[in-house]
Amino acid sequence: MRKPIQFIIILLKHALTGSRMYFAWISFLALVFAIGVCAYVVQYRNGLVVTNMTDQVSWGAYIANFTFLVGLAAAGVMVVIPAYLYKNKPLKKVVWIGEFLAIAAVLMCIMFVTVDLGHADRMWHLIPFIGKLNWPMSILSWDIIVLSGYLVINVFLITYAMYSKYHGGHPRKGLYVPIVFISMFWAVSIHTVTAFLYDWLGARPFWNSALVPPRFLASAFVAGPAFLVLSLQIIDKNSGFSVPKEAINNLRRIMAVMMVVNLFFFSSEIFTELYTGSGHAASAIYLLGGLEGRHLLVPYIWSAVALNIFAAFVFSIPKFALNRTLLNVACVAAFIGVWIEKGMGLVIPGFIPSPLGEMAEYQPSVIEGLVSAGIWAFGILAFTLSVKVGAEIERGSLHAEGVVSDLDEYATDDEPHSSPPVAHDVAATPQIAIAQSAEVSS
Amino acid sequence: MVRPYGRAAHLILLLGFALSLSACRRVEAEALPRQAANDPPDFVVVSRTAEIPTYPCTERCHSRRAPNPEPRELTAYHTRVQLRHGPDPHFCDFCHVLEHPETLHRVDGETFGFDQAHRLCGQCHGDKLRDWMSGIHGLQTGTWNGVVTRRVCTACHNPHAPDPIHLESLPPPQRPRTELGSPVDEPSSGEQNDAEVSP
Amino acid sequence: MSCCDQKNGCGEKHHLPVLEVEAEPEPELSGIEVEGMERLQSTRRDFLRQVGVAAGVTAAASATGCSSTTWEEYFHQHYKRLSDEDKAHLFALLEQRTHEKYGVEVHIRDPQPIEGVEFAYALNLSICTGCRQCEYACAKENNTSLDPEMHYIRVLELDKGTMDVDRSNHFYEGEVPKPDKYYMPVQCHHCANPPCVDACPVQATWREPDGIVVVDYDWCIGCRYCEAACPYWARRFNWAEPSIRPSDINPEQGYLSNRIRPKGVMEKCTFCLHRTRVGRNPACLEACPVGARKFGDLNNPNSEIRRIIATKRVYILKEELGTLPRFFYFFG
Repeated sequence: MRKPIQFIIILLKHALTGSRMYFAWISFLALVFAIGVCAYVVQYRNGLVVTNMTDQVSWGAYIANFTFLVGLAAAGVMVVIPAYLYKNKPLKKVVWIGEFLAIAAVLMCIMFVTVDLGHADRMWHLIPFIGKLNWPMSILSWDIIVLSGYLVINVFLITYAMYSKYHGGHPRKGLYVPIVFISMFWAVSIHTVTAFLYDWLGARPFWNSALVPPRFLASAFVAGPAFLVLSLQIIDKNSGFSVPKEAINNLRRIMAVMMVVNLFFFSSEIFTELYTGSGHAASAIYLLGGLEGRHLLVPYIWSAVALNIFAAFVFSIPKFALNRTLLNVACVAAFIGVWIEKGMGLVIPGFIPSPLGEMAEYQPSVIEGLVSAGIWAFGILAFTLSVKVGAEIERGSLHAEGVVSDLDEYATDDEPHSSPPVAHDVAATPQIAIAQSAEVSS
Repeated sequence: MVRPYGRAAHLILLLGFALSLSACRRVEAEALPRQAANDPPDFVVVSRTAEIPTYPCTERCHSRRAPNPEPRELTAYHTRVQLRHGPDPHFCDFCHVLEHPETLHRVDGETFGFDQAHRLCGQCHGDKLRDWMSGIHGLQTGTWNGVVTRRVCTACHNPHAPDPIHLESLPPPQRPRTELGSPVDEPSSGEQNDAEVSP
Repeated sequence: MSCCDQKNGCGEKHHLPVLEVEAEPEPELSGIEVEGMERLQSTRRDFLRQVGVAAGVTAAASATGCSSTTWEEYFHQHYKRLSDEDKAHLFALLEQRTHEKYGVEVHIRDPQPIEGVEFAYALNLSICTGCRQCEYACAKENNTSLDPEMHYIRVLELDKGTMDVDRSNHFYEGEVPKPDKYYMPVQCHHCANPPCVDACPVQATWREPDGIVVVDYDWCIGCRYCEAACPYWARRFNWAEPSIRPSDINPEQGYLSNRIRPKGVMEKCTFCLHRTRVGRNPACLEACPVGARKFGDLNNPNSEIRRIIATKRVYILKEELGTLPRFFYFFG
């Protein structure tokens, strides 16, 4: 028992030591989180009246963020599936980052749902037998089960892998790999169940569409890799863990396909809603052009579409994609675009107009903004701390006493042994050639 | 399945109610020719005559004055009575027995008091009478599973000028707090929605 | 005196309501409600003030013993798992709390469903004038919050020729009925296939044997999924601590119906089960000055409801959703 406890203590120590910039970063995140906590205390005491949610628009920023983050959590598999199913070596090297992202995202999801509850102190009512979980009828009960399960699976996988690595070994394949495969299907299921939360509601014709789950998955598989591409570059530069360039390119290719698919789904929804011209399209009309003089969301959705189209172009055209700066800009654009499309562009318009035809708009209040920022800060903080430690373990610099550092067991599978770069790749990004030679010489 | 209520049952009911509730003078509902699907539940009718201050008409005034059957505008008494009932409202004697106006009469000669005004109204408004007897039309209070209390037609409808009922509505519901000060505060009309929804 | 001022609506002494309506006076609230009533303005100054107040109040509350609520109050089980003894104890506790907070003696009862009865409601759209008497009588009967205002009934004004509620006007004023409009009050329809019951993750809402869909206010976690699921916009959430004038409190209360609810939970029309399960009519029915509302037992072939369904052209809202509501509209 001593070894695991020692392991955790050492992890904490290493998580909290680092460069000045690292400290500034985690202090900033901790501060934002603290402000979020204070804002939540205000909300807890006064009730949800401090948000801008009303009986007409009864879900807002919290559930919008939750919906987006479930997608981000599911997108952890975007590194796992190619790594284990297709034996993609560059992506296998960064699976651990995807898992940390998944864990941080699921934690954020749970926090967002908790702050949205009118009676968070009654959460024990959700526990089967002690409480009264409405399984299997309530889709929300399914969502709770799959999200908790996903958290458990990913915590197990990454802890087991890191612990083994720390002690100079490998996780037992017979135990590890089957659970990895389970996590692939489980990840798809968390986002599908979250989509099912919306799409069975006959009361909300805007959501009552079979295309909602595919849209969710497609947009999740853009936002997740976009975040990963940006994080991978930061990790590569700052942590001493070298990220294979092919990993980023593979993720980019996934995003290229998924963004186009996402845009196709979106246009399919628009056409179907608008061409029939039935009253059921009221929410879509409100979102896209405004209804009865109310048009709060119109600029947002069209900005999201513009950002998504821009990102689709950059991802799809190799000349642009291999320009690292342009790629990063496109990743940010895709992330924001998907956030708007899923959060403001899906959750909010479902409530407008109300089932009795009443128009009431919504934008988040200050308290909602602060609590949301606090939760995001927590998630990014968790991600930062875990990745900092994970990088050290993965690159072999953090290991138990007496363990000979394996130093990048994947080093032998790196670029020099992969297919030679295509000519135009080399021309566009000379850094790859330099990096390869550096790796070979080490 | 439909239980016919005979006069005896009604009498027992009346006695029971007379004992328990003495506030209103109640009049038992007249048994009308049955229509099988619409047997009325047990009900009592709140007395209408108790609400008319000048009742009974003959005792108060009409023993001293013989009413004038000439159709004309009334200027001396009953000046508030305006006849606006149907295309040709005729005159008082169309409904009231002129010698003792607290008695109403039907075209078939039957007479009864104000508390059974439904029998008169039902001459022309048969479907409403049928609904009233079934409990579908008109205000009912009391219980849903026992005896209900109803009102005679004339309690709500002015028999001389039965204009549609207009009321002052109570205040509209509060706008959602996020809508206060919204640029479009006026409620929409159907036509506006029409223009926006159809392509 | 208008009908709303009477506790039981118009009761038996019915007369056409007075045409003038007195303006609603400003609510006077006891000091206890002030804390729950603070509305945040979106300025930084107010936010900081709130934080300070929150911290201070928390300290004060724990110091003054406001947190002396019992384990039972917070952790008692779901209504369906309570024994009769538990219930008696719990009701006494809730009555005591209400007395402490508002200074009013209330009686919380738990009338059971009458065997063999299934309730239904019918509303005569030809007669409804849109006067909203039912809306306000319901609020009074059910001890709903004054600010934020909570009404279970919403009266829709529709143009003749349309049944599309998306084209309705909720905010009409003045004399009614207006020319070429008709009026449709909407409240919980107590559906036989309720989407809200399927949605609730903790089974805090369910359909009773007599058809009434109820909410266990002490079990609800306030996730508002049921509110999203209801096609008739019938469910309401307590965004803040409800504010009620002590003089307005209806002391005859039911555990599952009109007892005073805490903040953060859902509530809605309960067909006044504290009245209807003992044979009385719902408050909205008694308040209607023109008799547009009819209520009764679907299983009794002699009831008005059955007669209406047999002889009138009844329809239900949003039938295509398959909710099987027990609220029928007809033109009579």
